[in-house]
Amino acid sequence: MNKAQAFSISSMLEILISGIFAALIGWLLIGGHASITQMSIEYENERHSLALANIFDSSPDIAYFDGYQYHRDVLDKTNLDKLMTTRQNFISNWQAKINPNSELSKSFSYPDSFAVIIVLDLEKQSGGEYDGWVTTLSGTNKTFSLDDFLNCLKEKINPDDIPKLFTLDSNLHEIFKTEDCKTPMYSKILDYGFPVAIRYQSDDVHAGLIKVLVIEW
Amino acid sequence: MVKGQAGFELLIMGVMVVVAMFIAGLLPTASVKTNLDKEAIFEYKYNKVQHTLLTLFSITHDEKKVSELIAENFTINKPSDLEFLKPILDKEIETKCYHIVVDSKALFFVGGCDVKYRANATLILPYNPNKLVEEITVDTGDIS
Repeated sequence: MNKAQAFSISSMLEILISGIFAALIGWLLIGGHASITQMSIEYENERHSLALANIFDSSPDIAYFDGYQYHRDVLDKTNLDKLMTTRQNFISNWQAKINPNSELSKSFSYPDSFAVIIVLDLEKQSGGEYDGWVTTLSGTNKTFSLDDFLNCLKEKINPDDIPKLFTLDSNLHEIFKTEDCKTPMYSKILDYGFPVAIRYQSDDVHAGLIKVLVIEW
Repeated sequence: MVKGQAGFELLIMGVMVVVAMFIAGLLPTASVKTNLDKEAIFEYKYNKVQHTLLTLFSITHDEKKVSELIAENFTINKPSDLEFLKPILDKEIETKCYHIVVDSKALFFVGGCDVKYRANATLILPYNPNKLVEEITVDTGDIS
């Protein structure tokens, strides 16, 4: 090997190593930026579920109205019966009840989203399950096919898991098989839920929990 | 210098630089994730303690408002009257760690952990001409 050839190989190696380092730095920067962006979006998804629970708790459609004011966190049993599906009806007919056109979807929902809200009555229990109500909400869907998603959900959900929705430790995102149906983001923070009161009549107000799952595209 | 030693040292330095770059690249991501998780959890738990207090003021027991029962209990000093509340609070607060205090008297002191999240409100006291209102505080915390 002559002197010129050795210099040329050494230069090429230097360029190659510099290129690898530059690519590595670029990969770290772009990858880091993508991870941070994805985490921010996921965090927004969790915040949406918290906001949805708070909006639901004080919604004029659901909250108890005494003639002068709405009572935040006091859910009127009459409104729950009217606008949501009772536990018995949901268990016996869950495939039909997971639909995008619920009454409450007209009042509040996020765009490009599908949400499940469950209210449990902690003072009415039989066999480890609590009495309760369920509704599904969907927002305008421009970026995905809600029908395809709902068909996937109905196919993947294990019917034996449906009664578990009415237990304290149910993980909504696991029962609703959100990972199997290729949803990019789903909330987990309200799997256990917020405390609420359920008003049957003035002298009969029960303690309850509201669980929320928000899936967004 | 022994033959080959310079090459070996260069290799070690190269590996160290690559490892340092990886750590430097991953640190901001890990730090942002930790902060976002902490914020989301704080928001959830802060909201939760507020909802717990609101619920406590709204529910009834034997056709009587629980807030009135707490006020009576505080005034006439009969802690056993509120035992029915514990199973309800245990279900509502998954960490099963909470303190409910009126003035400086603990009505419930469950879990024995450091409490971090607080909600308070004014409780109207009956049969007490000396003081008509008192502050009720609900604190919740995490099991360590």
